[in-house]
Amino acid sequence: MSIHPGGQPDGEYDVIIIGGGVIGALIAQKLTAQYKRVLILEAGRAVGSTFPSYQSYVETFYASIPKTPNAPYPQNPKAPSPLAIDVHNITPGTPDLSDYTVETGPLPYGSTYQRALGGTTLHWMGFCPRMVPNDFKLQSTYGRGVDWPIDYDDIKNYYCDAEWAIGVAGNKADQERFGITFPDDYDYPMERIPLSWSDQQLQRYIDGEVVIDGAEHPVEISSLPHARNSIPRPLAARGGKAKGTGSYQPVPAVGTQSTGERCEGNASCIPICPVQAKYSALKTLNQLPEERHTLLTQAVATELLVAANGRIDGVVYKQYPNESTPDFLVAPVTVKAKLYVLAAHAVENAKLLLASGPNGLANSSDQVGRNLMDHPFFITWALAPRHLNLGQWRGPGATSEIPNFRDGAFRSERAATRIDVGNWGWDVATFPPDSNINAFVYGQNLYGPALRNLIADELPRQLRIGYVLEQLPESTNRVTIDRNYMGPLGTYRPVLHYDISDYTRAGMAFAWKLSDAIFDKIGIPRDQIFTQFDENSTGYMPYTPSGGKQMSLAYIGSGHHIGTHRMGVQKSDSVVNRNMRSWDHENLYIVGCGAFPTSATSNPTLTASALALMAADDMLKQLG
Amino acid sequence: MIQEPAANRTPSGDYPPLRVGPDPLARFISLSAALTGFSQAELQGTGMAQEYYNVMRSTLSEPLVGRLLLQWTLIEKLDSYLQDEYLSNTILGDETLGPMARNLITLWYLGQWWQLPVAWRQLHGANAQDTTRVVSAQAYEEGLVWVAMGVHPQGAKQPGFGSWALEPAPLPEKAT
Repeated sequence: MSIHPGGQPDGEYDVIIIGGGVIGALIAQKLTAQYKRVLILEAGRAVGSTFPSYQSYVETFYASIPKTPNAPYPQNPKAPSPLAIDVHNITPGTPDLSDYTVETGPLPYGSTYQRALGGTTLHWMGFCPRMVPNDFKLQSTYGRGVDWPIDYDDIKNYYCDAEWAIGVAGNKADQERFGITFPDDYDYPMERIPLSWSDQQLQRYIDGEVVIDGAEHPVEISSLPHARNSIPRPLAARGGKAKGTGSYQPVPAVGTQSTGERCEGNASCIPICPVQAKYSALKTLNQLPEERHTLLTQAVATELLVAANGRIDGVVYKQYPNESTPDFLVAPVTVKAKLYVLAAHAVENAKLLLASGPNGLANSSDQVGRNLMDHPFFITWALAPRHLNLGQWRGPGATSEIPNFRDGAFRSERAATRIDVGNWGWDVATFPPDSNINAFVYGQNLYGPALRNLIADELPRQLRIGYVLEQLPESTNRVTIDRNYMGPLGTYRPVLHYDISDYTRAGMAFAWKLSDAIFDKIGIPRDQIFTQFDENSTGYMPYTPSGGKQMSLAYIGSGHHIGTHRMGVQKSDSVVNRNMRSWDHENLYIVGCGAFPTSATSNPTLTASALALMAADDMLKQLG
Repeated sequence: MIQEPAANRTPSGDYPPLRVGPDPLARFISLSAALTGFSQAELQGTGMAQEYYNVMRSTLSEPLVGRLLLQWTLIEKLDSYLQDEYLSNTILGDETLGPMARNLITLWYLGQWWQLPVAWRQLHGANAQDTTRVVSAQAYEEGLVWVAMGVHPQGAKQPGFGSWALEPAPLPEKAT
């Protein structure tokens, strides 16, 4: 990998990409393959670009309390990341300033991202479901939100490209539902990640129907596609674009050939895969042709410059020699290219656009920063009956989903949900095993064989099911900047304004009924279900169903920052066009999950990757 | 009366011997076995005993560690049917020794030292070493909680591709 923390731009570039995460990396890969020269500016440090440095972050993870997504990577004072360790419920009128992002509420956003080389793929779970066709036309199908400027047919070939570029393990037959289709001669580059023992046990009880409020709904446990190395398929599975013979070669860890070609069941995907069997953008960056790219780390883009004709005319960045250098010693540098790609993350993209020019750039629609979404994650938890012997705490965080509620006529009334069946006990519900030690040793005063037996009996039976909920675009959910909240190097801290509408709360209330029905099918008695929220719960929010009485709901962030520079068909209400090119600046592309007009329920990285490859085609057309 | 913790280490960096018999580390391990429900051989097999003994010595004053081990040395001499009752009442039930013993359990199960309760610190002083932490990366990997659960520690001792699809170890005979 050609990393130059103290390096300089070198010669002429066709494209400058701001952000060294998965989206920037995939675009760089596609452009350099066509002999374009690319400069990548990464604000953070070169985390894990060598094998020993990556191992050091594994060690940091071992020694961390709590083991949050960012735990392996020490905070970088020059390019801070939101940590979301203590997510506070917000007092009206008093912004929460405790994290890098300023939270004004009324609800906490509470999701993390990682500002370092590799971006948030350093600590993502790696689930890669496609979006379903109706997700692209929510307004015309269900009268909610907006339609995308593209439909499933426009993106489906790019999904195939992205699945092979990232290296996704899956079986297409498991994914062909709600209109998702694949070419006949195509399949994922690797076979699906095996379902956990827990999944297999639950499948015997869950598959079938559930009845909720008198209505029957089919339910089944199905595999999830993962960006995680598994058993490779023949290269012929690439279909029409197949090149060569033999099998797909799973990409090993960066800096060594001897590890990472299979998921080894470390069960720590978030926050870190010790063997790098899980994809991170480091793998793509590592494959870029040396002579056609320059990668500058510790280089924080602070402003885009615009010419009188409306074209972007340069990027100003500040490259800090080390993380302790005083700001005043870091001089700004301007670099230029033909095209500019903003791939710095939904929140950071919006921040940089708002901070550029006299009144922001690319913002004639006034949509920059608006329509911020996440997938509020609703969790329910219980102890499964002993005879199931679930054997939790093994394998990736989830190996299966219940996909049946990702689409349906109900979306005119309430949010869709994608359901993850967990493999790590009660994980984010109660933070075991520490919480169990606290309860058993300090609460119940257990010790000796009684303690050992209780742990052996209970923890493998902990079952947590998570409901990933759809959120609609709302203009008041947004990222802004404010001179009162400045960060390092003269940059802004993002200010987040966030709420969750009744559409999503209604979906959550339904998810709770669904959860009860599913636990009932498994044969879990009510006194073994521990789901409970009150106003002290993180992410607490009340909800009153029509004709019902008020209930207490709660959510945690999924780390899926969506919206903030949405794509559309006209410049009056969107920031970029279908190729993610700015309506206002023809040589500026704004890419990533921020371009999504709606959130749907799929983990967004795969779709953002497919869109990035689509945008790269437009860049190649512009460059000629 | 608030008592300041004693400085434990001698200038050479060693801990002064405790007056609890010839082999205080052995007493520490046998106490740990009684507290954790793991045999002394299992505890020795983790390779962590010396490090945990050092954590206790560096975090707690010498008289307190001495009192804990001396009390255990007396209990060990009792007939086995009395040992559990005396461990429960005179160590875990003691306002000074109880929080220390519970912290030893946490040390062995999680590899973490948890800051002692406020009431205990008011009584015996707040040692600067008494902070909540994972005592080392190896301590995390050797946490007994994973062994008790029948699994590997998350992120370490990888069990291999597809292992999660296989039948787990049986649950204990009956819940306690």
